[in-house]
Amino acid sequence: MPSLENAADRVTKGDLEAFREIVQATSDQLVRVAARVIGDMAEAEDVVQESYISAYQALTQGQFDRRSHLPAWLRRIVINRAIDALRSRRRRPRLDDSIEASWDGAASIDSRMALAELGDWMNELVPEQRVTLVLSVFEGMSNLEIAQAMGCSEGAVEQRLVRARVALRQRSQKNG
Amino acid sequence: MDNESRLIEARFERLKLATEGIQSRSGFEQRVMMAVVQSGAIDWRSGLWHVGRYGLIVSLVAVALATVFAVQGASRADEMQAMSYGTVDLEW
Repeated sequence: MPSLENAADRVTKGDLEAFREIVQATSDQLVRVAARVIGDMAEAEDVVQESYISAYQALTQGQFDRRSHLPAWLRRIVINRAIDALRSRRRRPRLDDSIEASWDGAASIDSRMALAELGDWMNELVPEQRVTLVLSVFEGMSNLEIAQAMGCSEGAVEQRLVRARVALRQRSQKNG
Repeated sequence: MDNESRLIEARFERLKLATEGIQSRSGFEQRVMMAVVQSGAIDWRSGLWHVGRYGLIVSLVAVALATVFAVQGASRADEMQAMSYGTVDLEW
């Protein structure tokens, strides 16, 4: 998407409208990734919103490496924020698990149910394992891409995937 | 792959398909832009650039108008002076 890189250039010169173009082009994908990782739509949107604020600051302060691919760079910010959100949730469990309040009519009932099921299923995984699994299985990213996005080695990615699957397997055996 | 693993992979596939259509809700983009503005994330240099850009245009217009008035004023002064000399000649 060369126009996105062009928009990023314009943002560095203080063009707020160019940032809106970036949000328009990337928000759906980023919200989907965050929702799959977190398992909650409202929380996912909060994570993505905070990520956009960080991204805007980084762009205007010239901290964006122009050789980077903008959507991948944004996804990396969202992933880090999502991991932070999962960690703070583990420290402070949510009291209200109602999903109905956090949705509007835009999503199908299947999506709502699936997201809640996914969030519940992966709830016991370590945040890094959970993110790695979502990026691999749901987003179809390669181990190398995940390693680059999460700032770890490919070996660490493989290890997390194996451990996540073992944990899910143990959980289903325990429940089944 | 044993039966347990197959069940897990099948569940992955089902949930992947079911969450494929997830996208940001209506109004999310506006919410983000408002949050960016309210967060103070807008760099003071970019604000200064915006103000400075308009200030520069206004200054250029003011300079152009001042030049036109100055030239007109100078030629009018010359005319007045010439007229006054003429008057003096006539009276003389």
